[in-house]
Parts: sequence; structure tokens; C-alpha cells
Amino acid sequence: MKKVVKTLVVSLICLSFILAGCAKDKGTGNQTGNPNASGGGSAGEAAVTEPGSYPIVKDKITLRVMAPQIPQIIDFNTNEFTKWYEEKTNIHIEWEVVPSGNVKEKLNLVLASGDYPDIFLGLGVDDVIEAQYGVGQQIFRPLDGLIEKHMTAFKEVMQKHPDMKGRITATDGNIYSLPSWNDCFHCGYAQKMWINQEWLDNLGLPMPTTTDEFYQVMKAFKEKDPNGNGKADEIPLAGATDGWYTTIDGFLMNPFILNPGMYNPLKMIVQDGKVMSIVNTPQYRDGLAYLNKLYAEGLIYQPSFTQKIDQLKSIAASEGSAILGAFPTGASVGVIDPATNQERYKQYVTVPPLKGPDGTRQATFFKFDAVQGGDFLISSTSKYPEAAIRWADGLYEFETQTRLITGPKDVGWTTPDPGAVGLNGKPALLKRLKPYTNEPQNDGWMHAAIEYAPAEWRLGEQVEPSSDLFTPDGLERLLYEETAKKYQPYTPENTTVMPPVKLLAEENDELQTIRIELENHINESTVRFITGNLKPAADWDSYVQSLDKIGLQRFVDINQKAYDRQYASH
Amino acid sequence: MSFLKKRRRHATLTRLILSYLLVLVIPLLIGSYVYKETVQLAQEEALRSNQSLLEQTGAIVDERLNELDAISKYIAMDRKIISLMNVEEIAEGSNDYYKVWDILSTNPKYNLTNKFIVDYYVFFKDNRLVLSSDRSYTSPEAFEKSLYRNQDSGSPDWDRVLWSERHQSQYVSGGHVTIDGKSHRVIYYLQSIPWEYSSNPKGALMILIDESAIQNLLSKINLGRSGMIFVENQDGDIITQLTGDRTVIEPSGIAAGNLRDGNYVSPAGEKFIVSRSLSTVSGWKYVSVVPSRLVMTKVDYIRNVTFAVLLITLTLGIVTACMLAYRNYKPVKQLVGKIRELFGTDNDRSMSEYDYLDSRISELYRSHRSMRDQMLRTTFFERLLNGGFYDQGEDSLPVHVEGERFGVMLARIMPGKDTSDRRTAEQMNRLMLLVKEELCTEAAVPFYKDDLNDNRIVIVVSFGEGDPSSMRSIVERFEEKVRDKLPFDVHFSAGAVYPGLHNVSISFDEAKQALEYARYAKNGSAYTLFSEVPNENQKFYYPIELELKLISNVKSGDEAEVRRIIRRISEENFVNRSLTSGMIEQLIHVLKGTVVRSLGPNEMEPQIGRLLEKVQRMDRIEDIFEAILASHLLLCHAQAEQKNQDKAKLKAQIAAIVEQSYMREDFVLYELASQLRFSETYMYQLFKELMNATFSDYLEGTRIRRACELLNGEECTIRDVAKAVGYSSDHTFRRAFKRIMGVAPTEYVRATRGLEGTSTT
Repeated sequence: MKKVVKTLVVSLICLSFILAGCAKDKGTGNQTGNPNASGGGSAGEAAVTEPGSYPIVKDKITLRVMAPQIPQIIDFNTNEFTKWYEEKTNIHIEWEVVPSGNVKEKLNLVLASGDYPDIFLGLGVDDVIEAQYGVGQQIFRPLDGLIEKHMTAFKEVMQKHPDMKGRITATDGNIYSLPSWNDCFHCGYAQKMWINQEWLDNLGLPMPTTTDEFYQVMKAFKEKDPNGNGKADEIPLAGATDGWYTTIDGFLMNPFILNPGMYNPLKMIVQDGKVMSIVNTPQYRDGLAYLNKLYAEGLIYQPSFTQKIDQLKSIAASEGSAILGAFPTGASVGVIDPATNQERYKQYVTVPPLKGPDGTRQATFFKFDAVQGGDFLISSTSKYPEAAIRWADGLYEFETQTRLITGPKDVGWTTPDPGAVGLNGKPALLKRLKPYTNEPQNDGWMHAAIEYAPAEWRLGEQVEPSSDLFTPDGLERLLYEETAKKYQPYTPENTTVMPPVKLLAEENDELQTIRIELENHINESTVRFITGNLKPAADWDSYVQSLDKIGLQRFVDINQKAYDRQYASH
Repeated sequence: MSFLKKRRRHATLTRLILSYLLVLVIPLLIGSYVYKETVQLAQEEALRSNQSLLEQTGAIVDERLNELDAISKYIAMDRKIISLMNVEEIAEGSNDYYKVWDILSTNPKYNLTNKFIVDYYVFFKDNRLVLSSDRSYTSPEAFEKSLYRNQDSGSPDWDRVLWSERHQSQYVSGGHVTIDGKSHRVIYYLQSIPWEYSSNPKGALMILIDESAIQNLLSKINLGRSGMIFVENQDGDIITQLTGDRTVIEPSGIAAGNLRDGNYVSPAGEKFIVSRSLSTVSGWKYVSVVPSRLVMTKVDYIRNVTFAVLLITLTLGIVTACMLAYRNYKPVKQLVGKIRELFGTDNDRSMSEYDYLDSRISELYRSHRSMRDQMLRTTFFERLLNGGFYDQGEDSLPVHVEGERFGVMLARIMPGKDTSDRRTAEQMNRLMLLVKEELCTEAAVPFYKDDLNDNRIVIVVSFGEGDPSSMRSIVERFEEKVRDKLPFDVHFSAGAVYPGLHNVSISFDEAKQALEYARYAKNGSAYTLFSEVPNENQKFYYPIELELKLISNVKSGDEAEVRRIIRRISEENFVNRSLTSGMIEQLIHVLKGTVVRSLGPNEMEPQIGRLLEKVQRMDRIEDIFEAILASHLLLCHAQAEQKNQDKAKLKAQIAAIVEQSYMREDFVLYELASQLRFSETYMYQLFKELMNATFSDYLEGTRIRRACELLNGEECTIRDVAKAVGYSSDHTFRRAFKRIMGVAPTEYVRATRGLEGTSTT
């Protein structure tokens, strides 16, 4: 019996060992299964290599990047530049893309949520948001120290453009965001109008030079079957709410008063050093009345106020004959694709600035648009600020930037032919192999991230003087020539668009709600005046009064102060 | 046959193993039961968790769909939207268009706050507008063209679908749409506007639900590579489905397939577990079809582990059982082997080791008993026949003795032509048997003894009080009986009959003399009686045997016997015979010689010499005999003294040897005898005489006494003590101790310790 007990005990012990072995296996399995995701903060700092050298980190890290989903990019994840840059930097990007039309809303949601990506890229975070979440809440990290310690290419950029630093410095003296720099000649005069030259020719009409002539042309387009298909299917004038200067009132307001453009919702300008908004001026009223006249006669396509560039493009690309007479935008390439629809593309040329009833003839020069602030910010919660700033620094390098905009070398671009010259007549810097396109592609990031395109880069593109302007290859030259010939000469002398100003935190606080209300009221009223819902004669005064009531004057005053602070001394 | 034998021989081993295995079966049975229960439980648990995961996922989706319902209600009841619905046509240049702008500018961007919503569209029946969250379409066609432009398959006929019937929170399985260049897979949610019932709805709301968002939620259910999960709406249309990269099964197959207890077997033979969950909110039916081996991974794991454990237990158990059984069997086997060696090979191997041991041990016991009896009998007879026997009461006799008078009869086998020892021994045995047979049947039981020195048998015949039969008649009767039955010659002789056992030796001597005489007498009689031996009167009576007897008695210091012998010599020669003086002189001379012979190396020589000289000068026979007797007695005294001294010495010697050797368990009488150069038989007797106890009693006494000392002394275990005092097993020791001391050793220790304890307090 004793032996039997012994046997039992031995077998039980064996059993328990086996079970314990199993349990142990499981335990270790759990441990190894749990990835060491956290606690890489200090490691990230230590792992960054010498500034300007690659890869940036020895052990691969992942950064979360919030970026706009622009239609031109098929997928950030599979994008050629994404892959190339990841290999170069050893930094993997986890993309959080937001619809480009809703960037501001989405950004506000994210910033309010508490869960931030490492990097906010290409979102064009405006001064107001920067002041609120950077200067105010410190959700954005001040970059001064990081720039000093880890950046090389960007420091060179700042040296080359001395006024850049002032533009990107916040009111507390810190830099929170890195800018894009797109020194684009034709972009300075992006508030253009494109008209169907073929239709003008068909009807025997000259290029309109005054508001009245433009009205006549539109009317003729509507009534005289310019496309010759026998159907009254012509749309004389159409725009969109979200394209590049595609709003109807942009170009057409200039004959009355200088229009600072759709991206300046309060329409602020500086006239002889005086800051003002055009929205309560009689000239603006007259402009609206002119637009209402066009609208009331059915010359303005109604959905222009409610449709997207996408829809405008489909109108422009109508099957069979063209049905679109004129459209406002910075470059016709944004509405018609030259590669697939060259015939249609060829039909449209720019309308030079129109002369208003009082003889005013001017083109808006977006003098301050080269710098696009707010394209790169780091959240304060990021564990890898050093790696992130190094990642941004690389984007300012020449070759990287070229790849970013135009795609892989020898696919999107290559070194220029010997002796070739650029648009500016100097030796060319690069030769494009794929022309600029507005169609979805996956070679580069285009304008979706940090863009550093100084004038010499843009104008350093190798050109063939003999080539057709209305081809994809001729795009840059077409825009250059149209702008130089038709718009640049009409740049007003004493009046400019309002330069960006830095508001103090308390000023921002005060204007926060006023701005939104003003924007809403101006937007709404503008549409109502144009569509005839409000009558200039009857409703103008009450409109102006309500603007005053909301606080337009206060808004202007504060901006005047800020303007004086920043620019009066220069 | 040999196999059978072999198996028989290992029967004990087999039985041991079997008993261990029987014990092993118990945990195995318990284990099997636990195993069965665990697997079943785990299986149920796996199924339940699979089901509840599906239900949870469904609940999460439902929550989102609830939100969707709220949103749709909100939109469908929007005042501005309903107001625009009443505008039948927005004319060119009409200021009604502002309303469109107004709706769009205030439309909440649900697609930003709800991950499920890709976008939503409000269809206006009369003015044909379509408004999304941020843009307008002039007509449903423009909407379709925009969303489905990248598709070959074209778009659903929304114009018909939307207006043909009223839609109330209806889900329609979707397709691909492209918005702002980005492609989405969507599920449509349709709601007629206004929300309240109207037979002629003026508008409709279409929400595009991001199918990938639902699939994301569903993908939390592990489908493996071949499973699938799908969602059906109320109408049984597949809303969405998620499959692994190797899925070959179809939802339709699941519906039509042979389903039993939630199990589905695909045409390819793979087993699936089908779980269903019906949403009360959306009416959606969630169906997950998961490969059963995926669900059962844990179950399989538990099953494998438990099975392995059971198997290992079984294996180890069997090995351990065999090992232990063999270990326990080994000593038995060795013991059996040893006993077999001792007893020689026996032909009966069929019995098991235990039976064998049992039979052998009882045999040993029996033979031990008979050996002891034999030894006692031998000693008894030796003493009886050679003198030195004193009647101390019949109780002490090892042989049952009856009768008052005794006589000795001798039977001798006459050597024939064939004188080989074997033949003689054989004859001896037969004679013995016969004697035993015959004599035992006789009313008066005689005793017999075989004497291997000569081919003769000694038979002590007893006669009761007043038994009329004479020795002669008995011998005659016996001779008659034997004669016919034995082929060889047996000669009988007999001594006279004397009263008391102590005179048996005399009768024996007479029988011997008669037998000797018969050898030379040529009368051919088959028997000779002592009385028939002619008595030579002329010669003095002093046979050599008597002289030797006298000497030996003198040497052993037996005074009474010496007196008796001397008296007998005196009686025989001077009462029964009338000797001539010469003869007397010769006799005296011989007697003197006997004295000298008895003297040996004795320091009493001068005293004896003086006595003998005195004899020379004496005339009277009585005086001479007195003197001779005196000298004999003197010698006898001296001898007795000497002997007593020797005895004391021997006693001390024996005691010393026992003292030295008692601790060895193999210390036996034989060893003591050989050390002292005695025969074992004599030693036994001597020991009893000297020590007043048998050897074994004495040894046991010594051992237990020593054990008591040890137990009183330092703390030793019983086992150690037993070992120390020469017991091979503590069990034997305990029994012996109990027998001697009356208490068990443990009690003894407790008692003595207790005493010590009380004395100290």
C-alpha cells in the first residue's frame, strides 16, 4: 500500500510539472506577444543621426501624419515618394488623411479630441488656429530649438528668404510651424478668368476688355449658339466653391474694387497704408449689382455657388461640343486636363483684367502668397520630435523636393539636357518627363505637403521654345506668358491685398467669434445679393449696418494695429 | 509447456504489476472524466464566445445605425429642406437658388463626425435637385454621373428606386461610388421625406454608409482564411460580407446548405460553425461562418494537453508499477532461489512463490521438530544404555516410558555374501521398518534404537507391573514374526530383565555379551539369552567393560556409581562365585591396576600409593575392597573436585563465548560446540546441565537483558537495538522481548523513561 501511495504521489508530481510547464509556456508567450510599443521617447532622441545625414534613425520608427487627401494623390500609403522617403529616412509614416475640402473642420475636431498625430502636414494651419493651439494651449510644439539643433536645409532656406522668419514667427516669438514656399510667378496673379477663344472666334467677337463687353459676350454665348450644335446648351459662365480661385465674384469684382480673393473671406485690403474691408464699400455694392445682372439673365450657372471643382470639371469636359463659355481659376489645367482633352484645353485663354464703369482696371497681385505657413507642425505629445523635424528638414532639400513634387527621378523628371535653358532664360535645373497634371497620380505628393518651390526652381524647368503652349509640357510657359502679358501690367500701385498679420492672443480671443459671424454674414449676403435675394438698392444699408453691429469696424481696427506693428516700420 | 511454466513462475510478478496498475486506473478514470467534461465545457464556451462576439459586434454596428436613424430623422424633418421641396422649379436667375446655398451652408457635416457616413444626399422630386453635405447636383443624372463615372456597370436606377415606393429606414446593399476621386464601397440607407407618412413623398434621403467601417468592426471576429461573415437586411439581401483570402463558400450556400446545430459542412468538406444574430434595430441578420477548427483552437489545445498528460501519466504509471513490482518481487525471488538451492530442485514448480515458501517453511518447521525429538531420544538412549541415567521422574523424559521392569533386546543382521554398505543399509532400513511396525502393534510398547556402528538394533522392552511374559517369549515371538518377512539372517539376543530404567545398561551389557557369545556359539539358534551364556565360576568377574565403566565413572567423579560398580564386583565375585585365592589375587591386582589407570596424571599419587600398599598387607577381602573402594572414592572425590572446577571453568568459558557472540544473529549452538570441540548433541546436553537452561533460552535471555540495558541507556530506535543484540528483524525482537519481559519494547521504553521523568520532577 505504501508503494502504491508513493506511485500516486510520483505520478501526481509528474502531472503537476507538466501542467506547470504548460502554464509557464503560456506566460512567456503572453510576454513576448506584447510588443514594446511604449517607452521609446528617449530612445527616439538618442537614435537621431547627425543633421543632414541619412537614415535619420537607426531603428525604424513610425510617425503618425495627418495630411489632406487631395484628389491628385491616389494613395499616400502606396505613393512612390512615400516609399522612397521612407527608405531614405528609415521612418515609416502612418497616414491619417482628411478630405481636402474639410481640413479646417477636421483639424478642429482632432485638436479638440486630445489624440494628436505626430505631425500635421500640408494642412495650411492658419494663424488663428496656430495662435489658439500653439501660443495658447501649447498643443503644437515650439520648433525654434529643434530648428537650431537639427535642421540644415531649412536654415539655408531661411537665409535665402530673409522675410520668411518674420512670417512664420508667432506672436510669442516662437516658431510653431514650417511653411511651404511656392515662389510662383503666375500664382501671384491667380485670380484669372478663362474664356473660350473658339467661341469668340465663332461669333466674331473680340476679347472683352470692359465689364460691359464681358456682359455682351456672355449674353452672346448664351443666345447665339457659339458651339454651333443647334442646342441652347451653352453655359456662359460657371465656377465652383472649392477650386483654385474658381469663385465667380473673384475676377469680376476687380473692375469695381480690388478683390483680395476667395481665401480672404473678410476681403481685407490695404490702401495707402490703411487697412480696410471691401465688403461695405459702394464699389463692392456696384460689383454685386453687376454680378446680379449676369445672374438674373441666366448668364451665371446657378450651381456655381454650390458645386465643387469636380463638377465644374465634368461640365468643362462635356461630351461632344463644349458647353462652357468662361470660368474663373488660376490655371485652366485645374479644370481641363490637357493630357486627355487637349482640344478642349486649347480653346480657353485668359481674359485680361476688365475695365470697370469708373475706369478701374486692375489685377490682384497676391504678393504674400509665396509663403504658405502652417504646413508642418509637431504635436506636443509626439515622442519623436527630433526625428520629425529631421524628416521635415529633408523635404527642403533640392532633390527630395523635386521628387516630392514631380515624382521619382527618371520617371517624373531628370537632369536637363546640356545647354538647355529654363523659363527665365538661365541654364535649366531640371527637365520634366511627366507634365504637371490635375489627374490622380501616385508619383509624388504634389502640393499636399511642404512645397519648397523658389522662383529659380520653378523657372529653372527646361523649356523647348518651339513647343506648343497648349500641351501638358507647355503648361508652365503658357501660364508664365499669359500672366506676364495680360495681368502683371495691371498691378495696382497703392492698393494691395492684406498681408498676413500676427494677432496677439487677447486680440484673437476678442475677434474669434466676430470673425466667424462676419464671415458667415458676408458669405451669405454676397450670395443673396448676387442671386437677387437681396436688392442692392433696398437692402444695402441694412446689410452695412448689420456688419457694423457684428463688429466689422473693430475687426478692421485691430488688424490695422497688427498691420502697423508688423509692417509700418518697414 | 515451458512457456506455461515460465508464466506460472512469474505469476507473482504479474500479480504485483496488476495490483499497481489497478491503482493507476483510478486516477486515469478520474482524469478521463475530467477530460471529457472539460472538453465539452470548453466547446460550449468557445461556441458561446463566438456567438457573443458576433452579438457584440452587431450591437456596436446597431449603435451606429441608431445614430444614423437619428441623423436621417433630423435631415428628413429639416424645415429648409422641406421648404425647398415645395419649390417646383428653380428658374434661371431665380432668387430661389439662394435657398439651395443656404441649406448647403448650414447642412451639418455628418460625414466628419460619424465614421459610418461617407456622405448623404437629399433628393428633391419636383425640382430634381440633389444636395449632399457640401454640394449640389442639378439633377439625379448629374449625381449619378458624378458618383458612378468610374464604373462600367453604371449606376442603380435611382429615379425609379427612390420614387416607386416609400422608404422607411431601408438598407440597400451597395456598390462602389467615387467622391472627389476617392472610391468607396457603400451601403445605401434610404428614407423618404418628409419623415411622416405621405403617400407621395416629395423627397428622399440617401445616406452612404461606409461598408469598410462596418467591415472593420466585423473584422474583429477572426474568420481564419476560409471563414466568412455576412449581413443580410430584412429582405434577405446581402448588405455586406467579409471573407478570408481562401474563402470558397457562398452566403447562399450557408442558407441552403445542410445546417445542423449551427454546424455547416462546405462542399469541399471543411467544417464551419455558423452563428447568427438578429438586430432588433436595423433588422439586420449577422451571420458568421467560422472554420470550426479556429473556434476550437483552445478546445483542441486543452484536449491535446489533457490527453498528453493522461498518456504520460499512464506511461509513467506503468513504468513505475513495473519497477516497484519488480523491486518488491526481487527479495521474494531471491528467497525462493535460496530455498530452492537448499532443498534442491523440486519437480513441483507449478505453485506460486508464496505457496512454495509456505510449504517449505512448514516443512522446515516440521523437520526441525523431528530433529530435536530425534536428538533428545538419541541422548536419552545413549545415557540409558551406557549408564549415567537417573530416574528423575517420567515427565522429564523425551520418550514416553511405561512399565516397571526393563530388558534389552538386540537384533543384528548377519553379514551375508553381499556385504556392500548399500545393501546392508537397505536391509537395516527394512529391519527398522519391520521392527517399528511389529513392535508398535504389540501391546507392550518397547523402544528401539538403531546403532549405525554395528548392524544392530537395540530394543528396550518394558514390562508392566506383574507382566507375566518373559523376555524369552518376547524374543521368540518377535523372531518368528521377522524371520518370514526378511530374506536375510537376523540374530537376536537379550539381557536379563531388571527393575527401573537405571538398570537398562546392565541388561544392555548382558545382551551384548549374549550377542558376542552367539557369534562364537555354534548352536545355530536364532537368538541367545544372557542366561544361556555359561557362567565361568572359576574365573573372577571383572569384564573389561566394567573396568572401563568404573574408570569413566571415577573420572566423571560419580561416587554413587563407583560404589555400585565396586559393590557389584564384590557381589559377583564373592557372593555369586567362590574364587580361588589366586583368582582373588589376580582380581585385586587387576583392581589395583584399575586404580592406577584411573589415577592418570594426579597429584594424589602418594596418598593412593599408601592406600594400595595397605591393601598389600591386608588379608580380609572386605578390608581390601574397602581400601580399593576408598582409593577409588578418593580419586573420585579428587576427580569430582577437578570436574567441578572444570565445570566452573567451562561455564565461565561458555558464558564468555555467549557474551562475545550473542550480538551476531548467526550465532548458533553448533558454533559454540565446535569452539569447545564438543559434538552438537553433547553440547546441547552439557549446556543444559551447566547453565540450567537450554542454549536458545540462555541466548535469548542474554540478548534481551542487553537490549534492556541499551533501551535504558541512550535513545536508540528499537530497530537499532534489535540489530545490536543480534536479531535479524525487529519483529522477532519485539516478540522475544514481549515473551521475556512481558511488555513490548516501546512500552518498556515508555515505562522506564516515564519513571525517569517522574523521578526527576
